[in-house]
Amino acid sequence: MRDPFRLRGGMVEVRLADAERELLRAIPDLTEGIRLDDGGPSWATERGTVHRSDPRSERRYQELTGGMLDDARRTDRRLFRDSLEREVLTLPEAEAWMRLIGGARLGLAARLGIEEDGWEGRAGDETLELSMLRLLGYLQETLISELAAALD
Amino acid sequence: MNRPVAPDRVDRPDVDDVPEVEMPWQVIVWNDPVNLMSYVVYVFRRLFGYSTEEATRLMLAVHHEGRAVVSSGSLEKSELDCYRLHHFGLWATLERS
Repeated sequence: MRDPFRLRGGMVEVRLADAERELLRAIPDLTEGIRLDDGGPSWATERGTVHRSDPRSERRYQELTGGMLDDARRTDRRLFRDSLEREVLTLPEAEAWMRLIGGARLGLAARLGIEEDGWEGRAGDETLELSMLRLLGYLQETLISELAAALD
Repeated sequence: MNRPVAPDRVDRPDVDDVPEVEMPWQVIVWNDPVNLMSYVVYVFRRLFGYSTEEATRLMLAVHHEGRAVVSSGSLEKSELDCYRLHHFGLWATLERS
């Protein structure tokens, strides 16, 4: 079985199976609808707060960066959608893919109520969402490996 | 050329009056059960320019101790670091040193 991504000549080749590409097509909609602060495990609900003991500084920070973060994530989704059917990605496009896959995994894990490390080896309660989480983890891992090589 | 002048004696300043540069902020990354270890190492290398060894050490501190200080500096720089970490999907907060 060949790896789904390969770094070559400063670009990332995409060699996805049909089922993998089909799964990735769902990611922009999946990540757009996710709100990690809307209930769920503490690692999800608390992650948006930067100044934990200073509400005034926190309000200022959110006013300063909230829109920027939304814009950055929107740009990632656009880069992803525009390149999803291509066989070769630029490094910025590949990074957008990596972030979006990571965001989808966070959303799925929050929805599944995953609280602690060790869930990967859990057997017996395989759901569609848990299967998606595992497959996205595999895709993200191989993409990280190629992007890390580009940093060397 | 100016001659050196002895400074006026001043009272010890209140803590709140100490310039920010003397009280840098720390950026803390917290453990979560979802982000891949390799991803966290990648992000630390990518955003802060750490070597693979240092990024791995920090990632393991996050994983085993629940949190690690990954950068420090002025409030403005630290907030920007937090923002960049959030864009990459990591859980980051600020604390005074």
